[in-house]
Amino acid sequence: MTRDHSILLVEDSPDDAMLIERAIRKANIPAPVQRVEDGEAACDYLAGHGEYADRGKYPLPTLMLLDIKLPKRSGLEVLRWARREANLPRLVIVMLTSSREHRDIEEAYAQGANSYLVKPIAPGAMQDLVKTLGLYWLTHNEPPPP
Amino acid sequence: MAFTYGRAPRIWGIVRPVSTPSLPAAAFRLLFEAAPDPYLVLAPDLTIVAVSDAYLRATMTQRERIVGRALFEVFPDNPADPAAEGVRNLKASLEQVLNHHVPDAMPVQKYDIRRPQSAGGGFEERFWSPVNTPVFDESGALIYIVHRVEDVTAFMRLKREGGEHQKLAAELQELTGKIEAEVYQRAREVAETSRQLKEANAELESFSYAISHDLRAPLRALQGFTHALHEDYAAELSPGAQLYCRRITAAAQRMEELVEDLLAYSQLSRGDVPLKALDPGAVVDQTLQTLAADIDQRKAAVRRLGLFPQVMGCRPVLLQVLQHLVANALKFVADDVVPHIEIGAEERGGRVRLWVQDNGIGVPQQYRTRIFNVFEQLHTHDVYPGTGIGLAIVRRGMERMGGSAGVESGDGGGSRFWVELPRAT
Repeated sequence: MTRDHSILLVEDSPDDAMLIERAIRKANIPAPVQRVEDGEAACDYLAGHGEYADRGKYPLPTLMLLDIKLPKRSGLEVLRWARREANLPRLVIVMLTSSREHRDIEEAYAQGANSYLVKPIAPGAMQDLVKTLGLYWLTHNEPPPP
Repeated sequence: MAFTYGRAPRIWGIVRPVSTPSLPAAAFRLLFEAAPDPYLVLAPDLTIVAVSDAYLRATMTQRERIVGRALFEVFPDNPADPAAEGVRNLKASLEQVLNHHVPDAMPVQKYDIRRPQSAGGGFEERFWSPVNTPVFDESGALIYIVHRVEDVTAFMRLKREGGEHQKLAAELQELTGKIEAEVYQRAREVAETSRQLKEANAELESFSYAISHDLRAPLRALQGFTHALHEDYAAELSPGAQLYCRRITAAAQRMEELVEDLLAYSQLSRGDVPLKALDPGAVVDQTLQTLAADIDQRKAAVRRLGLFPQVMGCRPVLLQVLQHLVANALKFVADDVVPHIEIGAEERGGRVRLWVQDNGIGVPQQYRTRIFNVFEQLHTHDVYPGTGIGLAIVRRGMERMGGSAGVESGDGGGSRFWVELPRAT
């Protein structure tokens, strides 16, 4: 795991955000986590608009954890935008949502999501999930050459 | 008066001097009285001066009682008929004749006549077609009016009946129209109801969607923070505080199960259920794999018996159904009893019945239909935890696949839950 990794968490629920960040911390994933609260902010961040132009402070993430139900622009819209317009084919986008709806899952893969995870409820499950996630995408997975 | 076509001008009843020697004057009276049509002769003051036998018959009167009397004294309006206007109309017609010296043919009149006391008295309904004709003397003075009537009562009655037929036909037609309008209205209502149903369905869909997202979020927080509290501050929590934490977690877990089952139930109700030929034996195997941990935990003996004929069904739905049935068979067993579960199939006509037989607590006869309803539970949560939705999912799933579900007493105790699907051809 190199120091270059960073994670963008797109999550509007402060509860979920706190629990996910805690899980990342507990799983000892050394990638810094940036968080935005809605779909539009996510696009601004990825595009480097406004304050996000400062890549020293807001590095382009290696991994984006993307909720679906979000204010302003839904996670699926952000996903479509990232793949089609922002030209970010290599960004690892993992949907992390509470929706188990077939149409959401289908749409997410059709739009180019790398993975689709349902937020677990069981105690400790979020931690296990985040740990596996970090290990897989940030450690085991061989990223495409830059 | 028309003098066209070279015809002789018609002259109405001018009384000529009796000049024909072969017919004595008295004979004219006899001839008049015997004429086959009803005639009444009036003086200009409307006194009855002569009457034909036919008229007497038609009006049920007698000559000696009416001749010499005033017309309207003899023939008054029927006092029982508030709409009677015979007297007024006849008077108007006669005045017309008197004033203008021309005949007047009246429209058909309802002019009831008095029934003689011997025939029961009162009035009798009659319709007449009267013509009043002036009779002049040689100087041209109007000396009489001949009032000729035709009794058209029978005709009017027929016409009225015909009218009733017509009325009936018209009513029928109106009714037909109404029914057509009704059918049209109903069709519109059906279309409207169908639209509302679709709307309600779409609403339900977004409702379920919202539930799947929003109802879960606070649950995650409850579970997550309780877990974090327990994990991060275990040393600072008293045993009592830790017990509360566990109870919060258990309650949140139960809520989560409820949400999950409700979602599964609603998804089953609205989602597509495509049917194709499948091997239910493979679905049974998959079910047992999925429940392997529970089976181990209960140290249950599960046996798959015999052959499983191919059925028409939807694999994920059947899997869901069988999972609930086997999970129930594992759950509803007395604590000190090792669960024995047998799963088999049999053909029944064109259908295949899959059954799950247990050695559990059984379902009393009176509850065997009710337990398939949503939220129907026979036991408190402490004894047999559950959401009360499992069997509702079973029933709905079977319905969606064109099948059915039920329960009967098992051989030698316990229950035998069954589901039936059409056999694949």
